[in-house]
Amino acid sequence: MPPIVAGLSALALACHTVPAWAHTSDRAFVMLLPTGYYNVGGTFAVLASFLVLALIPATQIRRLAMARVVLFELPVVPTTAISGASFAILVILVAAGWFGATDPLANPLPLTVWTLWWVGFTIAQAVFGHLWAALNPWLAPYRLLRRLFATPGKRPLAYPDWLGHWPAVIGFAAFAWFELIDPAPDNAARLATVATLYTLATLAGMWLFGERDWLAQAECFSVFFGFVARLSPLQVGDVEAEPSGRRMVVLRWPGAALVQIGALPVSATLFVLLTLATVSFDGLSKTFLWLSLGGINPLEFPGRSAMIERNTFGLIAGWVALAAVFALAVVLGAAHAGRGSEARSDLGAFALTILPISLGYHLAHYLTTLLVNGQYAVRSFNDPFALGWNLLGLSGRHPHVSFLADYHAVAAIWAAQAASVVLGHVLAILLAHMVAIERYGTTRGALISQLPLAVLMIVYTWFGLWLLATPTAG
Amino acid sequence: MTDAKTNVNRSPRGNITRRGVVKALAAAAGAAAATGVMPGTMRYIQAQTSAPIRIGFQLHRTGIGATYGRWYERVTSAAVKLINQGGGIGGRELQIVTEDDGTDPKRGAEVVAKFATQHKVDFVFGTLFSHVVVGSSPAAAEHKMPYFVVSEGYHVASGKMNRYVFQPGITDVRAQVSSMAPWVTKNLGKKVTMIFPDYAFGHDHRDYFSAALAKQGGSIAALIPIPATETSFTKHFARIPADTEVLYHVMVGPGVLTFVKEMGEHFGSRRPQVFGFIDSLEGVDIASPGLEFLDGSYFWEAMPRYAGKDQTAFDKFYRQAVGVNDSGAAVSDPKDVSTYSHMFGCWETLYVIKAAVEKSGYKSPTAQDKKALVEAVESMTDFAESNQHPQGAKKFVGRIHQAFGHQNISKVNGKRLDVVHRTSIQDGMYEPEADYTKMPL
Repeated sequence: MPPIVAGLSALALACHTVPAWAHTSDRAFVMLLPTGYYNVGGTFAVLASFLVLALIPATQIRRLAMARVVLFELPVVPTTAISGASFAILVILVAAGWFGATDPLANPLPLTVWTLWWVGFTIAQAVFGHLWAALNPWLAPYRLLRRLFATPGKRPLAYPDWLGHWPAVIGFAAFAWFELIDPAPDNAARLATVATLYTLATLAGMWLFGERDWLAQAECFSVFFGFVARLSPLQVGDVEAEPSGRRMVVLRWPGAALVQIGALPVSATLFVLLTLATVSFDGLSKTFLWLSLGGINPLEFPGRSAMIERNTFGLIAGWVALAAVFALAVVLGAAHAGRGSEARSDLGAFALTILPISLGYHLAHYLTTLLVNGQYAVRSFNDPFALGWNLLGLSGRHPHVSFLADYHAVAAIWAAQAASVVLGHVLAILLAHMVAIERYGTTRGALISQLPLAVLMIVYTWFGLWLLATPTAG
Repeated sequence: MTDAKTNVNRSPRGNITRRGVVKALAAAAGAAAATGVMPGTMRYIQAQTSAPIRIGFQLHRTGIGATYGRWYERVTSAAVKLINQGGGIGGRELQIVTEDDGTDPKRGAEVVAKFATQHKVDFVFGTLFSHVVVGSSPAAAEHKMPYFVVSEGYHVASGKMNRYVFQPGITDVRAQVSSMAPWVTKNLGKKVTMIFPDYAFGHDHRDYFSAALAKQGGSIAALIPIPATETSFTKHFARIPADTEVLYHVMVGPGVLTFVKEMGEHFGSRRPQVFGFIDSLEGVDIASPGLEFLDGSYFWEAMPRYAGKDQTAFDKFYRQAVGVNDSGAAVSDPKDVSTYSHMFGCWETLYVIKAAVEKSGYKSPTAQDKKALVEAVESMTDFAESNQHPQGAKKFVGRIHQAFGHQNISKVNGKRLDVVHRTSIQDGMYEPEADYTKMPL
């Protein structure tokens, strides 16, 4: 033990007068709300959606899954140019991370990465479709490097089959660890270094295995956003028999495009489950329940440094537990429907139906962050390098945060959060039903096979709503 | 930190450029002065004769202290702006270098070390949460870094920190709590039941108030510790003895509104006198639903949140500079209630640092200058109520590095708080139990 830490521990023990206190936060107002009723109501809504599906003929469900309205022709998107602009912004942000404000709520890098991009852009991708396909900042520099330095005619290495989505799983797990467990992910200089290293790793991967394969299977954000885009009602190039090769934008039922992907390989299945496990664990790790299980006084929360080992274990355990329960539900369902031999491919086929749950909770969980830190983000662009600039005329302006301490605003936010969680689950139930009908042919077969998974989703609804209502710290 | 233009908040690499810019501006200001077209800020830059004084601001930007941190930052920005408009510290610009400690003791120590070794600041200031102060103090000693905390914990006065740790801008909890006993026993009753969270923060209240109460001839009817993770309190209210005259509460955390609501449901209109610490409701509108039961009850406040009939010109000046209205909320967002009973400590501490630098002739972070500064602070005895000390006059006890000030008892009247009593400084003072001045520097 380093001497400072040893001294510190001894001092903490010796010094009984440590009046640290937790602040009365928006959770204090949430605790005044009748959240128990919401939880029961929301859970029943998901249960009801499952029961209602039993009444709808399989043909109607199929029709819904295939329904599409052609909206307009997608104009030619200058992908490389957009990606180039995106990369330029990334470079500016990284420079701001290294050389700009040390206050994480004044530096545009952490605010852009954690709030605008990870929270906000993910939602935008789910609503508007595959924006990342052009906004990905690594396409342009890769293409430029290729043009400048690649040997003509030499093709990249073939992406090994056995590698599957495992690099994306590892990448996403590392990203989640950094976000949720690292002591200082908001530290701008630290984040700038991480973003630079990840950029270099991604460019190296693309260089070795080619743009398409690396982004489709190994680069965790492209994999994630690729799946998320399929949730969107707006899809591109999804119309058969377009002889002219035109790419049309079509309107579809949200998530219907996910159903068509088919069975995912094991690595991709675990990837999808990881996205839900991480965001759920982020919620769980701050609850009084989790803290008290570890003997931590939440009113005197000792900070992230003290939680590293416990939360690393929790994150992994949460993922393993979710994967185990999911696998159990799917295998039981297949066995129940008398198609036990299909269980393995069922796992891959149903995995993506988890995604709306993940996104619904993502929005709910990060909503207040988006509302508060989104304002700080805009303010940070006013003076991105802390040079006293006033680019947007926001100097001296303070973000509005009082809604977090206003009963009625907190009640409205909580209702929106609960709605997001419930809708995510209802959509998941519906998508699972669509997948089941595809695989089992009849409504009856689908329902029988789906029952255990539906139970899991209903329980998870309650869990998600409970996470939003229970007291938290940290 | 974007509000104060003259204040900087950047990584060390960035400062090189900034110094260049400041020098260039100073040169330009000289030329402008000659032509008589120099704006106000330029006048200040011209007055500069040497490098800025740089203070590391250890800010709870994230973690459980973030709400307090937000207001500590606003007050600090406002104070720095004023100090610089008034010519800085000893004619030198005051720059603030902010680092987030995540309200995390381990990171706190790292931040103090970073201030010393990377940012090379002159002093560090601004820490609020006690466990972060306790975690960071050894680093201050190791780097011989004057470390000014705004925490109200008793840890500094207890003698368990070190020669470099000061708390000159806010009274500690022992003094705050002790000073309440005379008025409470005289006006509310002598039989007190204390209900408090069952950990160090609550135990401090229990111990100091019990002792002060005994001195006033009062007695404890019951001590009711509440587990820190409790979310429903009704069962604990049943343990309040019927002959209780005063209920002393100091609950904190997300359960506090539920606590008050359930207390109201338990007592209805027949209740003992109720006395609490505003720590429970710092940053929370007293008119929030669920708090109706508190009407007519009393709170300790370090600085009155609501501007009342006894408002001083200094309080008025301070509110205006920080951007706080007469209800203790942000002018720009009137529902955003400030942490009014704590954040003045940042303001006052910066003015103490300014006075100490100017008194000691401190020039640069050399061992000799730091020694002079530490001794200068230790030699201070009184701070007069002023724009620099808007919370009120204070006595500073150099031996224990701790300031003592007036405290207020306010009554909830409808949807506001009105001061009914202001303690003397003496009410909270106790015999020092340590002497930092004997520690080597």
